[in-house]
Amino acid sequence: MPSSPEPSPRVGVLAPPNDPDADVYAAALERAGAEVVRLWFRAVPERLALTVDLDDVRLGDRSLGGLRGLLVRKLYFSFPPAHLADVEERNGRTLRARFVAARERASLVRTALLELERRGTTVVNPPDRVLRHTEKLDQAMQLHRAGLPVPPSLGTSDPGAVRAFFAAHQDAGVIYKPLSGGGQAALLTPADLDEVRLAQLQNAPVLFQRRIPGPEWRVYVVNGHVVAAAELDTTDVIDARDNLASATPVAVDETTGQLCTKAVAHLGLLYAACDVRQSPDGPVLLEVNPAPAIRFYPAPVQDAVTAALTRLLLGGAA
Amino acid sequence: MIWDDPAPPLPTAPDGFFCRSLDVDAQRRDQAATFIAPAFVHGRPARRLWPVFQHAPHVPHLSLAPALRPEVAAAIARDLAQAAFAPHHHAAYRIDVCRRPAPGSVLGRFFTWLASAGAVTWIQALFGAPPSLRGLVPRQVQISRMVTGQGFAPHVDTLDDGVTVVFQFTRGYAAAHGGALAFVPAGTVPVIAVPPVFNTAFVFRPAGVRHTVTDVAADAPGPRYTITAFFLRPDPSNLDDK
Ligand SMILES: Nc1ncnc2c1ncn2[C@@H]1O[C@H](COP(=O)(O)OP(=O)(O)O)[C@@H](O)[C@H]1O
Ligand SMILES: [Mg+2]
Repeated sequence: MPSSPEPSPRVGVLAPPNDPDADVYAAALERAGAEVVRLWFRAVPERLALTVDLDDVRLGDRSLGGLRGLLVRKLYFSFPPAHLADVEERNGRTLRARFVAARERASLVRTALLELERRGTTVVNPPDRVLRHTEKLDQAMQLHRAGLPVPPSLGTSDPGAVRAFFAAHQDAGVIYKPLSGGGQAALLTPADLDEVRLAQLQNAPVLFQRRIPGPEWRVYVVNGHVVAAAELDTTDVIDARDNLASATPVAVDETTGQLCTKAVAHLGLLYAACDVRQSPDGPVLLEVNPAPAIRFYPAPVQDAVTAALTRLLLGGAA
Repeated sequence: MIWDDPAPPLPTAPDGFFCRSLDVDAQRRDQAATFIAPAFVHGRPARRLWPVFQHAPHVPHLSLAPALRPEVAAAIARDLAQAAFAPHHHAAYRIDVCRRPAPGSVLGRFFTWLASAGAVTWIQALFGAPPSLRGLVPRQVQISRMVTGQGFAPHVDTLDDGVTVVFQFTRGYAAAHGGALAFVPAGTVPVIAVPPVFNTAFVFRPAGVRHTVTDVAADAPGPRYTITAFFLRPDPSNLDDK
């Protein structure tokens, strides 16, 4: 009798249905013979049931228990909610009812993901570490405490502190960006130091950093190894993403490579992309992304990253 | 020193954030306004459009004209004329499609925007964000071209609920030149026929709606160009949907 073929390993990709980066990751997994299960919790609980008990995690009528790996590309759920829609566009007559429901959903989804990890699924990256990404200043502080070079940074709602920081870093310039990410970085100008403008800090604090000059590298680290990197030209732009078309593969030198692998290990990530500025004084870490986009970077970078990531998710050596 | 003053006076700070980008809604409005005609981004009576759409005869629908900023529509038309088209992979669909518009081009940027959450926000805001349009996602954007002899047999695009927007970039067609988007609930006699008028957009509810495109005539002044965006509510029963 012919032996029955090995069933293909199942790997989950957690992302919105229209996430083009998830498509890139999923295609690589499928090429490697994995059965890809696209997951997204947005429909929970109105149109899709999520169930966790001592034996299994089920989404709809489907068990997630046997997933070999799970790639967390986007985590919709957190508490407090990271998306206004998660409160606004939900059932519940009052804002309060919807707010409480959001907390309940986040609790169950987080438990489901943590439980999958305990049951042996390689979760890349663990949800708590993905969620920590919204604490950008804290990440810089952690890296700084670990002796790694980060830009001089200031998180504040105090106009006086901003003026002092601006004066201290006038030679290089000061960048500001949201503390929790998700916005464009901008250059602080003398016009921003106007009293009325700075008073807006009383509505929400902001992250300020010394501007680090030089080309920007996007360094991908999988399972402790640098697997690929791209260089972005930063001439005439503040936020390097305005120059994504300039991305070209770059060979990573030892200093930069070690900096990135150390940072990623320190943050406890299995997969990450480091944004690094190559300043005249050496590489400086702008941030480490725990659920990075990939599609903007050249094909050789995509291929090297998805190949290593696929091996990690399927449980082989990187 | 008292750290948690029980009744701190509220500072009289001006509205707004220091980081403008935190205001996702404003950011998305700005993004939409780079393509869409101002009246359909900042227009005030949005809520009034919803009943017009909903109660339109035969199929919920609405036309926007002019749909895009004139300079944007002109640039997209130029890009379309130079874009790489290939026959639709489904041979029964007698149209050509452009899968990957040049990234830096206006066409490319419009394509990317239509496939983004920002475009969903725009279409929801256009109608004053009625509850029935909650939870839509950009499902598909198709750039298509029809040349003489091509057309599109009656078909149904989707059973999912949501909204389809057809942006038109065809110039100089008269009725006899064909290329009309025709709604045919049964047989071939249309209940609505939308002519291919440059820089208009036809918005309709696609769930189960049978429609066709009439054949482009031999003497048509050029190809028929459309960009169609589907904003649908994902069917949760299909976990593997990509
Ligand atoms: N301190 C800085 N010096 C120079 N450029 C910066 C600095 N901080 C941010 N940028 C630019 O802005 C971009 C976005 O900032 P980043 O910290 O990576 O946040 P995010 O990608 O989460 O929005 C960076 O890729 C970089 O090009
Ligand atoms: Mg970044």
